[in-house]
Amino acid sequence: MKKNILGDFEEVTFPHTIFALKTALGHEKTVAENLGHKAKRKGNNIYAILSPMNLRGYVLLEGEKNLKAVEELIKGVQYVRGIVGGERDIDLKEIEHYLAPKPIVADITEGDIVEIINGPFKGEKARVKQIDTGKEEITVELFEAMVSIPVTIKGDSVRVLEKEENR
Amino acid sequence: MLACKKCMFLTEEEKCPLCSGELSKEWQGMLVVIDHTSSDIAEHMGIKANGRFALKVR
Ligand SMILES: [Zn+2]
Repeated sequence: MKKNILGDFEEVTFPHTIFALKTALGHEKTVAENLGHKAKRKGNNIYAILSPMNLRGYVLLEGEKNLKAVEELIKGVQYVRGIVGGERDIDLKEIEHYLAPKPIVADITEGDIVEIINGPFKGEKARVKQIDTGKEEITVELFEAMVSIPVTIKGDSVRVLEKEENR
Repeated sequence: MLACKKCMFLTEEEKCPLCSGELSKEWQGMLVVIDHTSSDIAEHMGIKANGRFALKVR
C-alpha cells in the first residue's frame, strides 16, 4: 500500500509476467516444488511454476512482475542459480509450446521405414503400418521376421530411417 | 509420485483425489499451480485447482 497524491491509500499492483530461472541440471522439478511450497507460505504473488520436459536447467515462474519479490523467493533455495535476463518479460505465447508438447508420433507417417531403438526388437528395421496418435503407439512390420506379424510398440522406441514421401 | 491419466494431477495416493481417474507412473514435465485463479498457464491448460500437475501422461 502507498499513499497517492490525494493522500488516500491505494494498492500497488504489478502486471503479470513470466520469469526464467536457471537451475542445476536434473533438479528442475525439485526446484519447482520447493519454490512452490515457499511461495505458498510467503504469499509472494507467484501463481505457477513450470518445469517443461524438454527444457533442461531452467524453470519458468509466473507471477507479478516484481523482480524484488522473485529475488526474495529464490534466496537460499537449493539448486537455483539465478534469474535469467532480469526484468525481461516472457509472454505466455513464447512458452505455449511447452504446455502442449508435440505428440511423440507426430513425425512418423504410415509407410516410413524405421529402426527400433529399444525393447526386444532393438536394432530391427521395420515398416510403419498403422499409427495410434492417442496412445502414441505405432504398429510395424519387421523386415527380418520369417512371418510378417504386426508388432505394436511405443512411438518413442523408433527412429525414422526413411520417410515414405521421399521414396 | 503418480500422475492422473485424465486430469494430470500428481499424487501419492492410489486414486486421483481430484477426479478419481486412473493413475500412471509414466509422466513428464511438471506444473506447480499456486493460485489457479490468477495463473494464465493454469487457465491455458484448463486447470481449475492448485497443486502439482504433470505436462504429459501416458
Ligand atoms: Zn484426476
